[in-house]
Order: sequence, then structure tokens, then C-alpha cells
Amino acid sequence: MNLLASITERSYQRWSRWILIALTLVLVACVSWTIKSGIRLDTNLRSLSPAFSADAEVNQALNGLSANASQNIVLVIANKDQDLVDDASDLLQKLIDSAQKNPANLIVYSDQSQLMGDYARLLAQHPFHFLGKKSRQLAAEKNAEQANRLALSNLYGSGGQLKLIPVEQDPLGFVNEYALDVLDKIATNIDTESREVDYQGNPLFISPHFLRLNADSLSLSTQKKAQQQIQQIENKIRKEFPAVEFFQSGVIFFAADAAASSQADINKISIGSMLGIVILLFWVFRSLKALILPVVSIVAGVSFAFFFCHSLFGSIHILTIVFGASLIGVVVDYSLHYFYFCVHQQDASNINQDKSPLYRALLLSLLTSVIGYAALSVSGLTALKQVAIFSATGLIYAWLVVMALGPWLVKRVVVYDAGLKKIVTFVLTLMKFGDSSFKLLIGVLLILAVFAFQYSAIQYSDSPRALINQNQALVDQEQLVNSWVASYEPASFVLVKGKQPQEIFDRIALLETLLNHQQGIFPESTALLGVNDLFLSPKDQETNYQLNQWLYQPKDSISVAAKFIQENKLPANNLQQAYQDQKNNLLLPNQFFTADLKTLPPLWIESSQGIVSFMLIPKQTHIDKLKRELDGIEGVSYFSAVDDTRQGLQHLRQAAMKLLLLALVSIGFILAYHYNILKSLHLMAIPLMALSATLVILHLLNVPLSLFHIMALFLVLGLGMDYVVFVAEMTSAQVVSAQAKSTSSAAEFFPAIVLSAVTSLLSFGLLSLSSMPAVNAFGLTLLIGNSINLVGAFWLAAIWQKSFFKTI
Amino acid sequence: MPNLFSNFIKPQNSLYNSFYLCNSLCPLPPSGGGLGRGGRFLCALMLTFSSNLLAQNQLKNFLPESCYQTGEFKQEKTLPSIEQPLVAQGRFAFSCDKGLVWRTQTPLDETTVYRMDGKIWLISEDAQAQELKSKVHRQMGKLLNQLMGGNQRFLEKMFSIRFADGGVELIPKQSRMKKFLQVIDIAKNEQEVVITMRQADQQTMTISVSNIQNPASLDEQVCREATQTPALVCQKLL
Repeated sequence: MNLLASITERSYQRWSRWILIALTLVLVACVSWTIKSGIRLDTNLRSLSPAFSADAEVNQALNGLSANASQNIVLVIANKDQDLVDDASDLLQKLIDSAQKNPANLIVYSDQSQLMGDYARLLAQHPFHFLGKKSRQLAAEKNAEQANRLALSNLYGSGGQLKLIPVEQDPLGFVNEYALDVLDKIATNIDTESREVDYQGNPLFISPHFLRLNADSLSLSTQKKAQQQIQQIENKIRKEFPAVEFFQSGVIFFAADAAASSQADINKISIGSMLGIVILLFWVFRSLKALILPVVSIVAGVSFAFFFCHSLFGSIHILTIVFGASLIGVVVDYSLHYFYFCVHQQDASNINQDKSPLYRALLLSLLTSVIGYAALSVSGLTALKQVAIFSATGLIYAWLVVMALGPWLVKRVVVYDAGLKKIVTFVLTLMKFGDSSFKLLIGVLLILAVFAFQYSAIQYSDSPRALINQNQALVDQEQLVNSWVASYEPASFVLVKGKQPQEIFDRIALLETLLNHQQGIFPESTALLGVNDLFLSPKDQETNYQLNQWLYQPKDSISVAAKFIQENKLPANNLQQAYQDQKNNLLLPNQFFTADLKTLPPLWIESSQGIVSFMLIPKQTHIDKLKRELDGIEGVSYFSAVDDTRQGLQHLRQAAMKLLLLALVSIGFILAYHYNILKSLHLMAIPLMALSATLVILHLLNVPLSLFHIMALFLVLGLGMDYVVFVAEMTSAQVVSAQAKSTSSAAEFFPAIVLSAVTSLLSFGLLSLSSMPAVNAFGLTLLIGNSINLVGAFWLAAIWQKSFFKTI
Repeated sequence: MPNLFSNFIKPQNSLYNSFYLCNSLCPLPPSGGGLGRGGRFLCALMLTFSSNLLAQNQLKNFLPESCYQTGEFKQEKTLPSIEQPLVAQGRFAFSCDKGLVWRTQTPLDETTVYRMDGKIWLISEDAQAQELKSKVHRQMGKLLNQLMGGNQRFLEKMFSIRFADGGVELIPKQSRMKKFLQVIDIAKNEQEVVITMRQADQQTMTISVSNIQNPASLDEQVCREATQTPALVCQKLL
């Protein structure tokens, strides 16, 4: 006798109550913690994607780069009248500047002055290792006259308009020359001056405003507040200047749109599910009392899942809530089966009948569903792990609630399912043509054969666009703004790896030499931006130091610097000694790219594994041409978050298909442990048929398979096992009843399975209406798969009913 | 009688100031013989309008009147670490539709051409021309051209204007500009115009413009005579 069969009703009830009490205490703790910390809804799409790379430091840096890019916003004011654009632009600047006083302000101008200040202070500590282009050339030529002339220009003339390096540290202004070159490269355009562009074949004046968010742009609360702030600003400007148009660019707009459509999905699916299920249950039970157990178990299960996951992860992803809403359809099954079994027992005047078969069936059903959901947790995606834990914990808690409260709430519940029984009887009658194990075997083999035949032709889609619902209007606007305003790709980079800093700079230099020979890769006047634009290589710094010797410490004459300082009465802080002291004092990028740096992406990451340097790619670069140039350069590669995510999703999809087979085998072993082999094979045939047929149908509908279709198949498996386990247990119970000479049939218990299937179809089927492709895929697969499960359960019942009647 | 015009007057928001002044001028209720509320409001409105006009007219007094100007300049740059100011001298020529030629003669010979279209050329004493494309130069060129051209609309847009001690202060409105430039003082007398730019890093640049001539037009010949530069320089401007 197996373990499951040996557990008594009393044991079920006792254990389930104790575990429920323990989990309720856990729930109370989780609720307290959540109230204290506040509810955080996560709309971060990055957590849906697998890790960008196997290298943890690269992942961290890429997250940093993406986070930095996701905080950028471009607001463009446009109109045919330039004066109007200028006036509206002034008002926008005024509004944003005045908003700075508000501590809750989220939008600021992208301002590089702090960055340049920090950079200049760092350069000033290494004044003998950096030279501007002109000064370097003159130092190499040892042209004292021209060097003196250049120094004069830097002090009195055009070269001295902005002093980033104090004159006492850089009297000749040669380091300042270098710093101004860098300023030009990295400073965002603070000039919001209007300019003419072409828009749909007509001239248009635009004024772009480069803004930044003060917080993580992918958190729901920040998105809402920032959107509101931007909208308020635009409304104020439109009030004064109704004719101006606004164009926007930034990740926040896509994230907010995705969150809004997810929110709409949640509302649609949750309300639709609940409404449909409540109406269905009311139709069958016609009693508010009968709704208590399903509603309480759903609310308890979903609440436990929500608070537990929130406490465990620190937040709940919006996708978890969308999928979690479909949990309703599974949880309600437990109440349904409980009522049906007990009502059936009451009708047969077996009020004190042992409920062990019910509990066994419920437990097996729970186990198989949890195995199905648990497979999601090995997917490697954080968000899917959260869905798995949310679903499994919700199911377990709901199950325990049904077990604990069922005995009290089932009293005097009546089932009005005459109509449903007629439908079931009718379908069972139709099934008579196939009511033999042999025909079931033929059916399953046929479907498996069709599946095998079509397997090689199945299309797959691992596009990360499945994770978001792309608003085409936003995409078009983004592209339009990008064509007007130069900026960098937020999710594609050139990676340069090496062991030593010089190696990195050498590889970048080689890359730039190759790129300089090619035309048409980058838009006009743009190029890759890397550490070489901010810092010189160690070798170049050494060279500059040597060149500076002629300027500061010549062997046989007064130095150019000393003479210049004397003639112009400049403060001289013993530069000769300072030059000597600075020997080997190189400025390396890791001194600048620290964890505190927020205003520039982390272009340089050092770890025990080596150094990774990122180069930013201008938007509208010909990526294919760029990739071709990168091939063959050792240590240099192209990285795209989209490509990386696609590969990750492909890998996960392939792994998931293998895990599905594993889940099938695991469930098979559990069934074989509890039932005999023949019966187990009958039970496994139904979900196996459902899985294969679903894949065949999706292929016939020209739906390319994604990870989310495969994930849904796990649930098809779990739900299918629910139905067949109940068929198996209820038909076993009926055998006992037959011995007690009662007159019941599959039509007595099968309505519970039908109701269970319909509630699941209502909740999962509604997911197929979601605008998010991933959720839509999930819902469609479950709609098809679970329908086939129901048909399969009917088939199985028809087979065993025939066997049952033979036995009487 | 309070001095209405020695206070801080912002051309845009002086209605409140004017109402306060009208109130203080005529505090008694209508029965006491003074202006009623409506009267005081009308008074404020008229004062605002006239003070705005007055402010604009005052600003004009400090700005160049002619489209074409030539003259000499003396530039004194004061750096916090240097006791004595750095002095440069030279000549200039300006055309309100073309731009500015700024020729430094001492202590170095260097000419910068700031064109109205934003292009900037640096021409050395051996007539080698190099285009300057940096943002710093572009910003400075734009400011110089607008100041020299007396572009009141630009100045009112970019600066808060304050009259004090016989001169005018231009305070940048944009916080980003304030990080580099704190204030521009303009003082004028019969002989010269003195423009002082105080920068955020305690650097001060004072430009004294003198011997100002207003030719009827600025062609290449006039430009070359005024600036004493080779032909290339004025060609770059014109």
C-alpha cells in the first residue's frame, strides 16, 4: 500500500490545519513587513531578460549603462515659427529651473558641469602627462617660439576663454587645451538654440531639451510622477503657446506605456475571470454560502502569494500579477471538487463516508500542479521564478484553506447541475465511439506521429519584443527625434577586453584606424565614444611626460615654461620640482570611473578577470558594417542587449522543452507509485496528447513558438493531471460505491471536472486577449491545451465508465 | 517723493511693484481725496507700462546704436592667483548682419572672426586660418555678437536687467549659464564703453571699448583699415 493511500482522512485534516496555522503566521509576518516597507510594483523589463552575459562584472556594467541611458529624456519643442519655438523654449527652461527648488522634483537638465569639474580636478593632479593636440605637436618639434605664442594665446586670447585647469598648475594652458577638447566630446548640448529641420518634407524649427530623471526610470512610482510632471510642464507651455508641438524621446515613455497596458490587462483579466467564475458558480450552486469557500480560498491564496513574494523579492513584478490573476482558475478547482464529492456523498446517504479519496485526489492534483509551476523556477529568469513561487505558494495556501474550512462550509450545499449532467451524459455518449484503451492508444499515437512529422518545420521566435507591447506611435516618435538629435544607442555597445590598460587602448586605437578607412558607418560628424576620448593611454602619457621635459626641465637652458612664467609674472609653484615628482604618476581611467559616478556611463570596469571597456555607438550607425569591422580584432566585440536577450530566450526555450519531458517523467513516477502501471499510462496519455496536439495546432495556426508557449505547456500538463487524477480517483470511489450497490456514474462527478476546466479556460483563456505578446502566447497555449485536456478527460471517463459498468 | 527708478525693476513683473508704489503714493480712500482702488489699479498699470518702456529705453542707452562699428579695445583679465591683471589690446570691426572681427595686437597678434552664422575662425599673424568648432568659442562668439549688435530682445531673453550706479547689470536667467557667468556689467561714458564679465571661477574680464566709429557700411576696405589685418581676415567675415 503506498504512502498516499495510507494517509487517513483524520491525518489529512490534522496536518493541513497545522500547516495552515504555520503559514498564516508567515503571512502575518509578511503583511507586516510589506506594510512597513511599502508595496513596490516592479515594471523593470530587464528582470524579464536572462542575464546579459555569463560575466558578472560585464552584467553589472551593462546594467549600469542601460540604467544610465534609461534616465535620459529629450523633449523637443517644434513649430514653423522660430520665434514661437524660442519663446516656448524659454518658458520650458524657466519651468524646469524653478522645479529644482521642489525636493520631490524628478526632472533636471542634463548638466555636465559637475562632471567636467571633477574631471578637470583630476587632470590638474597630472599636469605633465597631458598635452593638447597643438601643444603636443609643438613640444615634439621643440619649437620654442610657437610654443610661447600658443601659451600667450591660451593666456590672453582665444585659448583662454574658459579655464578648466588653474593657471598656477598649468601656466602654459597646454593641459587646459586638452581638457577643452574633452569637454567638446562629452558635454551634452546645453545650447537649446532652435534650428531648422526637415519634417515630412517641410521645414520645421525645433529646440531640443536634454533632461534626466533623478531616479530609476523603470520603477512604477517614478514613471507615474515623472510623466505627470512632464505633462504638467507641457500643459503650461501649451496654455501660453497653443501652436507648439512636443516630441519626446526616452525609455521612460516606453516603460510607462508598457505599464499602462499591463495595468489594463490586469484589470481586464482579473475582473473578467472573477466575474465569469462567480456567475458560473452561482448558476450551479445558487447559494451565496457556496461561494464563500471558493472566494475565501482564492482571496487567501492570492494574498498569501502576493505578500510572500513581495517579502521574498522586495517587490512584485507586474508580469507576476498578470499571470497570478490566472491562478484564480486553478484555485477554484479545489472548492469545486470538494463540494461535488461531499454533495455526492450526502445524496448517497453516505454523510460519514471516508473522504480519503477526495483528499488523495486533491493532494495529487496539488502535487502535479506545483511540479508544473516549479519548472518555471528553473527557467533562469527572475520574473518567471517569481511567477513560479507566486503560483506554487498561492496554490498550496488555497488548498490548505479548502481542507481546513471545507468540512464546515460544505454543509447543506446543494448542487443544481441537472443541465450540466445532461451535457456531460451527452458528450460521454458521443465518446462511446472511442471508449476503449486501444482507441485511446491509436489516438495518442496518431497525434504523436503528426507532431513528430511536423517537428522539424516548427517555427520559433525568441524575439525580446515578446516581452513588451510596442506602441508603434512611440517608436516612430523616437526615431524621428533620433534623426534630429545626435545621441548614443542605449542598448548596444562595442566591448573591448584586455588584461592591462595599455592593451585596451591599443585595441581601441587599432579599431579606430580601421574605422577611419571606412565610409558610411557612422552618421556625419559622429564616432564611437570611449575612454580614449577622455584619457590618454599609459604610453601616450609617458610620451607627453618626456615631451614636457623640454618645456619644464631642459638640461642646458632655462625652460620655456620658466621663461613664460617670468615674463608674464605668473605664480610659479616650483614647477621643475613638481615635474620631477610627477614621474610615473599616470592617470588611469579607474580613478575616474568609480561607483559614485552617475552622470557618465561606466565605460571602464576592472575586476580580477581583467578590464572591460565599453564604447558608445552613435544612433543610426550602420551596425552590420560596424560588426564586420570588429570581426578579427582580438578582444573587441559587438554587444547588443536585444541580440543577447534573444539568445538567452532561445537557450531558455530549448532548456524548457527538455524540462517539460523531465516533468512528464517525474509525474509519471508519482502516478506509477500510487497506481498500477497500466492505469498510470492511461492517465499520462491525456496530458501527453494535449501537449502534442497543442504544438501541432499552434504550428497549423502559423504561430511561432516562444519561451512563453513552452512555459504554458507546463501548466497544460499540470491542469491535465488534475482532471485525470480526479477521473481516476472518482472512478475508484465509484467502484467502492458499486460494491455498496449505489447507482452512480461518471455523470455524477464529471460536472466538477467540467466546471473546473471551464473556470480554468475562463481565467487562462482571457490571457490570450492580452496586448503583451508573451502573455498572449501563454493564454493561447493554455486555451488550446486545456480544451484538449477536457476532451481527454471525457475520453478517459468514457473508457473507465464502460469498464465500471462491466464490473457491476 | 520716492525714487521710483532706483529700485530693482524687472520689465516683466513690475505690476506688483507699481501697485505698491501707487498705494504708497495715494494711501487715502476716495472720500479722503486720494485715488480709489480702481484708480490705483489704473495707476499701477500705467506705471508698469511706462516703467517697462523706461527700462527698455534705459537699456538702449547702454547698447550700440549703429549696425556698423569699429574701434579699439583694451582687455583686462583678472585671475584669482595672479596679482596683476593680464592686459591685451587690439582693434575690432563689427557688422550686425555679418559678425565681429576681434584683432588682438598686444601682447600677441591674433585675430578671431566671430560670424553671425556661428562659424568662428582663428587667424594667426602669418595668415594661417583655422576654424574653431568648440562649444565654448561658439557660446562666447554668440554673446559678443549680440552684445556688440545691441540685440535687446536677446539680452532680455537671456538676462535679468538691473540698473545701478549709472550702469546696467545683466544677470543670466538660466542656472546652467550662471555656473560659468555670474554677471555682465556695462558702463558707458562719452569716451568708452566698459563691459565687465564676472565668471564663476572668480575670473573677471573687463573690456574697454574706445575710439568707436560708426561707418555707413562695413566692406572689406573699411574692415581692413579698422582692424589693420590682411585681406583673408575680412574675407572670412564678409
